[in-house]
Amino acid sequence: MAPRTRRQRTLTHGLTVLALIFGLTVMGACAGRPAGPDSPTLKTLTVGATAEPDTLDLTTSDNAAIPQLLLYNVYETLVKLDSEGRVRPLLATAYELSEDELTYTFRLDPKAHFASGSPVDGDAVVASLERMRQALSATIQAQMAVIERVWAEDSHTVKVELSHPSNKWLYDMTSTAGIVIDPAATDLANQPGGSGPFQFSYWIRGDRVVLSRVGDYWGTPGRFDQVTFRYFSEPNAMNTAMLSGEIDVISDLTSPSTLPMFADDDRFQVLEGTTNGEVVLGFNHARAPLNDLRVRQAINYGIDRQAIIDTVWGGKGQLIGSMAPPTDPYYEDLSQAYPYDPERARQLLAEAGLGAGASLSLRVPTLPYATGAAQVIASQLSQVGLTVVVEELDFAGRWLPEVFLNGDYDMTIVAHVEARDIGKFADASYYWHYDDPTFQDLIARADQAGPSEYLDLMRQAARRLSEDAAADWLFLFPKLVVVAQGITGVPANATSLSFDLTTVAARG
Amino acid sequence: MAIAQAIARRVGVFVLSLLGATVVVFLIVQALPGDVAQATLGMGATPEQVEALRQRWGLDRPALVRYGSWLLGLAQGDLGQSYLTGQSVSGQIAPRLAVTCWLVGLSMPIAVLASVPAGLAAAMWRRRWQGAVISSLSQIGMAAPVFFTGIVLVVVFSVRLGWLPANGYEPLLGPGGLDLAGWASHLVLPVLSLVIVQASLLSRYVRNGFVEVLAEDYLRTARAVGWTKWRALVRHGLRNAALSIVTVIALQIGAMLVGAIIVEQVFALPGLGSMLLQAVASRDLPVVQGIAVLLVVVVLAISLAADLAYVVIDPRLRSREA
Amino acid sequence: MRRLSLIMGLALVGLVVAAAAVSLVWTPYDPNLVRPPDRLLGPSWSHWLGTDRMGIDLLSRLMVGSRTTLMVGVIAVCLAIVVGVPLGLVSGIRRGWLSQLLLRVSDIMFALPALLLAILLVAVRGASVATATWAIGIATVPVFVRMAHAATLSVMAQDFIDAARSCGTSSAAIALRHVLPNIAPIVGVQASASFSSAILAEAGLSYLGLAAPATTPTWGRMMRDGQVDLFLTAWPALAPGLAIAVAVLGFNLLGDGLRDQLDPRLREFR
Repeated sequence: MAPRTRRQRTLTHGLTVLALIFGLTVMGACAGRPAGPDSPTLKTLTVGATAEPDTLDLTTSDNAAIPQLLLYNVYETLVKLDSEGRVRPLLATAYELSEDELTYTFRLDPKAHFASGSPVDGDAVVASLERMRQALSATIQAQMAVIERVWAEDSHTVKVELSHPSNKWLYDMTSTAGIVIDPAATDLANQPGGSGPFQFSYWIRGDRVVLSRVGDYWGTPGRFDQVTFRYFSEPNAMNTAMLSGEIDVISDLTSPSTLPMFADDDRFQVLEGTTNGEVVLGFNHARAPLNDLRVRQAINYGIDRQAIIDTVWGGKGQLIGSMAPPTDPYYEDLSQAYPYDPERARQLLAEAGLGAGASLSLRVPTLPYATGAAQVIASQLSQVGLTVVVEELDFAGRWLPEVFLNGDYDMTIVAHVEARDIGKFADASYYWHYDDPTFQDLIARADQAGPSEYLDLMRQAARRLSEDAAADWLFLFPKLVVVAQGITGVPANATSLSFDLTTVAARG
Repeated sequence: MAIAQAIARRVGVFVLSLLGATVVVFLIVQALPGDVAQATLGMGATPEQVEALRQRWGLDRPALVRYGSWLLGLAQGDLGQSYLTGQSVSGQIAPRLAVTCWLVGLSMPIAVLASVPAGLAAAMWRRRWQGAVISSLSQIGMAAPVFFTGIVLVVVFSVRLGWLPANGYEPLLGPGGLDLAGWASHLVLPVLSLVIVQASLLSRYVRNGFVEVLAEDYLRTARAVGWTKWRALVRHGLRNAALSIVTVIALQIGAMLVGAIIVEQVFALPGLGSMLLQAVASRDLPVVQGIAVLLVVVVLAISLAADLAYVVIDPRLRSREA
Repeated sequence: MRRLSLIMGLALVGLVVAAAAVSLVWTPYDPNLVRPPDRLLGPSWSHWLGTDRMGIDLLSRLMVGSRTTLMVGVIAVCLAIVVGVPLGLVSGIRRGWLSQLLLRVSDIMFALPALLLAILLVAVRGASVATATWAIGIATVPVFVRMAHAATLSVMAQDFIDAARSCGTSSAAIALRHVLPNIAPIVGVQASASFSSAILAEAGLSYLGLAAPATTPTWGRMMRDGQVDLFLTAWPALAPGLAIAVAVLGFNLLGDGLRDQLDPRLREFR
């Protein structure tokens, strides 16, 4: 009997001690530290973001989360776009283009140096550009394919020779492809090294990346000692963190229906800007019945796009009507081409021989805008006699191989965020399989045309897409940023991929 | 001798089960559609680039060869390398495992501690209103989904009262040194969500353990030799309750890990759960396999430990085993 | 007190079943019809529980959601019983290498946490209620194998089995005539408990976005979609959360009540 009792006593004692330790810690925590990461000595900023990067190596992945964190903050480019979209010097104080428009000459700022202390010289720039030409990222490789030759003329002059004149290349150089990497940095995936005002400090995977100020930055120093990017896979978690004051910025609000709770609270300010993100209800043109113009038009008439914006995106977002946002020079308002008209939709469906009960698949990636819009579309199209079977697919695992590569779908919803991406509709092998010679001809002619003719041809092309109901452009993404009062200079417009910290400051 | 034999047999079963589980995990993971090369390169990739990446990661080798090399690595404690980051899987899992371990490791003992007095009280007062109240509370605690409890806690304690952080995590030994307060304050609400569910569940078993003792003859005997009711209850009842608790923990460990994964999601904790979901989404198979095997090992190890604990706690089992 | 469990359990389960049955013929509104002007309304006479951000009536959606909840529970538990009980029975009656093997395989399955299995299965077959049901069912099988095995062993140890054996009754006949009727009540109790676990599991999976798409009304998914608007109006998250709790509570109480009715020893000491 005796030994057993002792054992029990030990067990009970052990558990009591454990509970005491935890209880005391909790009490200590509550007493010593109110919620919130700020301490008076350090100036910190915490930014809430949606997608955590897998790696910090910009050369291997197109994941937008990496430039959001590192571009302009840790890595700098030779030239940069300002908020009006003009090319401005950064690491290069000046650049020249030769008369044959083939050779660029960049003059480097002699003050510029990496966070490690070594100078940003000609050799470092050449090494970076060469690295980008070999990049694993398909996008960067394609952007750099136009380069014929890169060399350093002296320690502060770099020349790049292109195989053909390209304005687009200089534009690309203001983004990821143009970053200058510290030649001493070897493990870019975990330890990025650049010349920006901040340097990588540490990364708690699944939670946050922390940047710290570079003490002897060569330009205007960063205004925060420490900047934390916290990653949230659930919008709700990010919202509550903002409400309870643990983050200072929601860099991209993916649950706009919650806007009122930030807009009506004077602790916060809401910034609204523009993006290039067209949310496209894509049709599979390679399959019946969506190869029939009447069916595509019927769907365009049968969907109340304003209702989608109101329910799914909190009333924010713009109707566009074709693959061109208002910031494109060839934009025309085509949003009223197919006003909401269920009667007309029913009529067109009947003409096309699709009786009641016809069924279409709508296979969408599991992203908030896509699943929400799918729910509304399914409801609205059921009102005109179309049964829509919605399937939610995880993006990388199933949507990419099944919908994007194999074309196994009738309809799908994806936001296309690249700038001036109307040309994608000219590629018949792209996942919509839209094969229209008229449109392809317009795009081909526009590429070779002079400036004024270019705009006219592009306008015709955008109109052609609308007339042909090549897709249903649901809405244009707004850029919604929530910022705590007292934080200034957060860029509202998504002009670059970066969450640019260089302009952000805290009042007081 | 008998005990040694019993232990040896159970360890043997443990190893065989583990081996079986690796086969199951590998087969399921192989059946995942889509592949990591495509997922990494995204919408802009050409087929050639995808193929090159597949070769680089050895995805073009036959499945049996990949299983063999994976198993060989496992035997040496090597979980392989993540496709996406190039880091060792075990190195990546370790900090995530720490979070989940703290979560489960803190909530379990607290739940046990809370359940013993609650269960005892419910048993003693089982015919009175106090007992009914305790039983009802435990029923409600069991019925409320853990994410519901978690959200309610966040709304009350973080957003409305502002006492505790709503979510996120602070490592105990972080980059800034020991941060006991930060660590604990981030764990209170998640641990509490789990404790509510687990303590409710456990207290019912504890209650039944005590009720059984109250009903058995030996309580009468104990009273006859002059023990007080309380003393007898604590002596016999605790052992009976301990047996129930060990059984339930062994049976519930899987469910508890599930609860932890959901709680991690609610509180945005960087634990194994979020890592698993992310790895499955990006088809980083070595990471998926690594986490799956780890979870299986934990469950098997705990049921092994429970088996061994039976042998220690209950002398009848010891003789039966011999 | 004991009867109270049973009665309350029956009442709550009855409520869920009734909601499901009524929803087959009538709901206050179309549970999938998006009505933008009505979005995020609080409870009122026209919408008893209010509406979600799509303007869909929450009560209608809850009623239809109860069908999914019950269906997932019934199918998952039936699957587990149909596969698990015979395996447990056979391994309890015939104690050879086969029974050992069965038990081991069952243990291996038991070691795979249900959510892990579900996450992997969903990744393989796609997120849907059907996949989630399968995953929950498969994960529940080992519970019934273990339970049936243990119950069979205790029945087999009793005298009347030896008597039957000596009369030359075959193993199959013993299993069907003597063992099965004796373990049936325990299976029933376990089924009720597993039913509530299945409801919670499906809700958890839907909450993680691994089961129903937004167009299929289920309680877990409603909570997932509703929690975002929690600070504007609580009902879209609160209502389904309470519904889950009511259903789980109902089946737990029902199981308890059944066990108390069946367990003579506990009744004696009431």
